[in-house]
Amino acid sequence: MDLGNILPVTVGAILLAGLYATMSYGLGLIYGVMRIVNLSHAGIMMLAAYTTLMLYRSFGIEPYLAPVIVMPLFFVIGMGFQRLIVRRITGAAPIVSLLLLFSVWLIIQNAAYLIWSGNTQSILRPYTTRSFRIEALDLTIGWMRLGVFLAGVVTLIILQFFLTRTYLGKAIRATTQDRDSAKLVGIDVDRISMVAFGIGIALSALAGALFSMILPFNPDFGRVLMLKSFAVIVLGGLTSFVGIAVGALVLALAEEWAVGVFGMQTALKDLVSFSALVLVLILLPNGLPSLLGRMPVWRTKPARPTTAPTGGKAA
Amino acid sequence: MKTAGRFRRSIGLTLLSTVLLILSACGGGGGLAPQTDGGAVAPGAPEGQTAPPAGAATGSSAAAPAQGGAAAGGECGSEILVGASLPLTGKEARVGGFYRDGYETAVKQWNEKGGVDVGGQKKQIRLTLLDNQTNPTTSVSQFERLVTQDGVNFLLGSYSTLLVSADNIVAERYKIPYVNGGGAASAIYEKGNRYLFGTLSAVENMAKTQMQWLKELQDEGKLTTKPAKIALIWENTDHGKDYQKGVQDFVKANPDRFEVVIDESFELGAQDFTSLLTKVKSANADLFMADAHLEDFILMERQRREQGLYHQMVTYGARGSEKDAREQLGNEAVAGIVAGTWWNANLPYPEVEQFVEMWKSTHNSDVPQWYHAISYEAANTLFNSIQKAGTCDREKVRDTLAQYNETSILPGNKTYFKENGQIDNPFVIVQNTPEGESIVVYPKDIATGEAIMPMPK
Repeated sequence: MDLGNILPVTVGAILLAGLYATMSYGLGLIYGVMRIVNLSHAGIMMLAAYTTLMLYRSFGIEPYLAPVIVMPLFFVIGMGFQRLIVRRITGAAPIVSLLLLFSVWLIIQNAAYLIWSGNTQSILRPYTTRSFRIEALDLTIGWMRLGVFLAGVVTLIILQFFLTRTYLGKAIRATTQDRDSAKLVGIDVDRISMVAFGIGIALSALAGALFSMILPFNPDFGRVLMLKSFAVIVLGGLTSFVGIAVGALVLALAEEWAVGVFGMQTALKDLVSFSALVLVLILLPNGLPSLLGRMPVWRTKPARPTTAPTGGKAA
Repeated sequence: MKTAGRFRRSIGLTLLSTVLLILSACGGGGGLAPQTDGGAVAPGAPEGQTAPPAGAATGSSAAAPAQGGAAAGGECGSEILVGASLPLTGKEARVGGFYRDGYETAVKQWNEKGGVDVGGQKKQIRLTLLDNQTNPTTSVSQFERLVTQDGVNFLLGSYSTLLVSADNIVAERYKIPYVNGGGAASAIYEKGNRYLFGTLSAVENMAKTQMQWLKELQDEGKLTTKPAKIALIWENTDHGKDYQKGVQDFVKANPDRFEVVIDESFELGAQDFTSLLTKVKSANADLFMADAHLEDFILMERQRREQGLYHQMVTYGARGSEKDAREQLGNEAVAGIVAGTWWNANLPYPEVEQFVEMWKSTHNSDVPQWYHAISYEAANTLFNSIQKAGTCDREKVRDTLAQYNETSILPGNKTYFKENGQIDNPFVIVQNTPEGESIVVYPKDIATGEAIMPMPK
């Protein structure tokens, strides 16, 4: 055990948690509203990374500004896709949507191979490898990693505000809690599903655009990230964006401490994530937040619906 | 309770299906075929005969060999049929394309000279290339099909240790020589294969060459720390394990010169190396020696620079000197990085000069990369062996390959195989300059410049 590494490893884990949370919001929202595991999530992130690269190479748009274009673009694409394809399988067995979205991922991936080839790409700008030092703590932090972390935090705040303070957000929450009751109170569930799917795709695209500045990518990009996203949303209990953020933090801390503090080989890092996924599915199927419910101090509070992943107050 | 149980089951089943689906796609790029030559073309074929589509059905049925092809025993028809399966799409598409270019160039050259002289009769070579999509299962199936359905006489191998180690079983099963330029891990050659030959020297040799170079730098006083502390980082593959073994063996033999202060493996395609680099920082190493593929090299080096780590020498095995590394990280970021490569265009042999000139004129391009040279040499070695054997009999050609010792474009100016079928050539150590060039710094007799040592801060 190397306790001297605790501080830099913990800071690194917090920054990594920002990355994990950012890539999981979209997946979590779509699952919450539609009970669909968006297996095209990796493809969307990859496509957004290439879109950011193209915007920079063809139009000189700085990559950090790309989300301003990428998010609305993918929001519209997501809504269109939901309207034309995903809506048709609403209510079908889970395997149908899994296969459909998995196929979509493969189509996107193959199209990317045709357009951009399999060459590894990365975006190189003067600021993408810059860092700053905190001498007192002997810490060096990359600006881009910090930027992704802050983007994750800002996204969380905006999403919380949107889901708790706007009509559309409240309608999304109502739909996630009970589709039939939402219909009864006059919510246009189809429209809400379409908008939520669009937002979920836009969030996946945000992650892809941000990652393109710190990670190399090719058409196969996102596979491992998507698997990690599953671990994050399961750890987070599929209940809220705050839960996702907590799940991301726990996962990142577990991975980084295992390697940096407890001396585990880096090659075994994924073992931590996926062991956590299996353990949580077996022992805490409602995720880490359910632990809080077992604590006496929390038991006096009203119970949350266990089957209703929401983006809002359930957190 | 009932609802919670149902929820639990449904989440469990959904995630299980999801993971199975994703895993089913792992290993292959799943890519369609962005083939620059419009499909799996058989170069050198008089009528540009096209091979069946990539990833097409295979099978072990011994169908009739193609026209002009081989009988099962290995005799040639009017042409010598050579088959290969390469990763032309998927993760390794870029390098797969380089290997295709190398094979095709060799075939074209031989055919333009009239073909291979087989017992006094010149025979043209017909190459059938298939795209395995960087998928080992597809690759094995395609080699099976090349042998059993297309009736090829000989095989040229795939690229990357992963694919070659899967494919070579076909060569052994059908007793057909398989010459590859893409498998470097020595583990591939330790299975007692008879028909497998490789023109990529073992990664372990690369590590040993780098260590020998560092030892000589210590003797010259350019590397002043003794013992020099090494951070040894390697990908968790046969490739990486070979590298680690090479460094560790050398260090054990020279304990007064070197010390490994951190020995750490990592998984391919990682998203973050913060904790690993924190360990490296704590270890306070003088030399950073890693073995990584391009993607991991890009991310690790970016993060190493972000963290402000300094080492007197930095190497990522074979990575760092190639065009892609400069494009993805920039000249400034890769300046000073040392790489061990299997070939370099500056090698001072007339054969290399001729090869580079030929390549530049025929491909209308920059100097060839080592991938081109190694694949070209693999094909050349096979065709030379057929000519020397004077027959297409697979056993005789196999024996000729085993005895092969001819002048070539590879380091050492020779191509020959050890008993296990793997070449044993030395490596070339190159270092990137701030001007965007890559100079040979070792071996001394072929050096084109002085090593920058220690690396400037």
